[in-house]
Amino acid sequence: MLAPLAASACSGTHAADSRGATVVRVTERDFRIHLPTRIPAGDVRLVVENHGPDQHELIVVRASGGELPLRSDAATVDEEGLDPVTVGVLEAGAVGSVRELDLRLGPGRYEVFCNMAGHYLGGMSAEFTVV
Amino acid sequence: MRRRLAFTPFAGSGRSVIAAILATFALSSTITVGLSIWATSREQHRAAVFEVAARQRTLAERYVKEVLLVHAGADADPGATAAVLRRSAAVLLDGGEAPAVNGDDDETDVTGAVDPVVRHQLQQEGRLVHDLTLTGSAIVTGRPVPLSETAHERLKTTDPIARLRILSDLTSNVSLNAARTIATNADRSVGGLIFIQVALGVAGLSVSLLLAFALVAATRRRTAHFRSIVSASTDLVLVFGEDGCRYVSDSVVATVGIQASEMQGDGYARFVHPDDLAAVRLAHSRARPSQLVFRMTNQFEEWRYLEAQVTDLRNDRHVRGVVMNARDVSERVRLEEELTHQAYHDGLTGVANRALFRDRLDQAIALSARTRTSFSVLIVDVDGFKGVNDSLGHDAGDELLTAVARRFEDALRPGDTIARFGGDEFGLLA
Repeated sequence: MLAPLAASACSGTHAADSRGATVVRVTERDFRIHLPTRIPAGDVRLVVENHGPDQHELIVVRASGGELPLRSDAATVDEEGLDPVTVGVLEAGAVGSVRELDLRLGPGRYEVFCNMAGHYLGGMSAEFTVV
Repeated sequence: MRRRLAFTPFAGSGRSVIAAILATFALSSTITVGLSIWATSREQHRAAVFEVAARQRTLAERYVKEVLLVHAGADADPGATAAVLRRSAAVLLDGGEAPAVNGDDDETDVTGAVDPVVRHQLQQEGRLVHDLTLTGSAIVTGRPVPLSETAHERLKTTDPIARLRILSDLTSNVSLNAARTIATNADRSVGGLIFIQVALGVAGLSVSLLLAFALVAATRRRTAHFRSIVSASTDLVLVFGEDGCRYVSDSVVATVGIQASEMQGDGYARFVHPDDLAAVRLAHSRARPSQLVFRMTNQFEEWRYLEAQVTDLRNDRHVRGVVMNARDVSERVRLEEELTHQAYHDGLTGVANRALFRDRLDQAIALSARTRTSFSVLIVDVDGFKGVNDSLGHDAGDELLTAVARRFEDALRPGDTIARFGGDEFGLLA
């Protein structure tokens, strides 16, 4: 399991786990999220590494093409409003943690972001396309 | 055959063990106090760092307010707040003197962050403060925000006011996280310190208990050792206090066949010869004389002579009594009596010999001179005694001499003396 992941991290390509799911390495560092921009459709396992220095969440939604709606505090994304397009959620992970999120993704554009206060507006989001 | 080594620590002196126990306590206490002082000092410093880190949140919010006030045309000095923010961020990371906040606190000495997570958070805070103050400065001066210089974070907006608010939120967020991490590390450190102090306390107590047990065991061994020596000794050890006999060694059974318990208190008096009892009482009450011979009866109701060495240990706090070390000298006394008897008596007839007769004669002369009384001396020999020896043999002669001596004894008064000078010659003193 570790060998394919390491290969993915180095080459930017994907590997498959024992169930056949595509394993995608996602790293969170400062207020940025890094992951491949193209992922094959089907079962996907996101392996999320938090390199800190803060706790971070990871929320996956189908991208609508514009900015995500904000709550009235103007600091966080309105998650409730995004319920219909939310694909998966990882609660806040500690610095240094490695978490996994299993998803079944159809083709299309997706966006991942952290909704800790100010993190999304600080640039902590990324988009990818499922093909 | 493998020799088994006995575990006999501290068999030498108990003082060294007591010193070791005290040293263990002292060392344990010193380390604990030292750790506490060190930890207290460290926690005071951490508290100062925590305070400065947490203060950044307030300063960031104040800075935004002041920028907005100036932007709205009001009077404020965001530049001063920006300077404190930047200086504090740098000091938190690399150490130095954190600037005072007007009306809030004084300068605080801070050492640089060491923990990698805290450093990472403070580095991020430094970037945010840099972006925040550059953005605020641009707003105050009405210049465009230098995006190329504030590109540490990829903010979602280019609107200066919105950027200012976002950067302020992030600065607050990161400052709070850094402060929390510092506090968490402090809690962990205090927990570790408590564990170390408890472990030290337990270790110190364990070592001290171990040493104390070893000391008790060594003392017991030594006591048993000396008790065995005293018990196995044929000498009789008696300790007298004000309440009579307080201790009798077990050898009293072997020596005179009396149980030690029977000797306790005044019980010993029943076994001491009445004529010697006063001397024994004097010896144990005054520790005088230092040497004493007295008689004790044994289980066969025979009088045994005991020679005792008397030692005054009433001032010795371990004894508090007079100690008599006595040994049975009955055989020696009897031998001495026999030798004395032989020296002054005729071996054949048992009456006095010439030496004793001479001594008695000297006494009689002296008494006569003092009391002006008279005495008589009669020198007698047995006529024809040689003929008895020659005709009937020497045994018959000896028998005759013995019979003559008995007859003289019967005829004399108890205070008179009959002596055999030798051969058939007798002397009478009356």
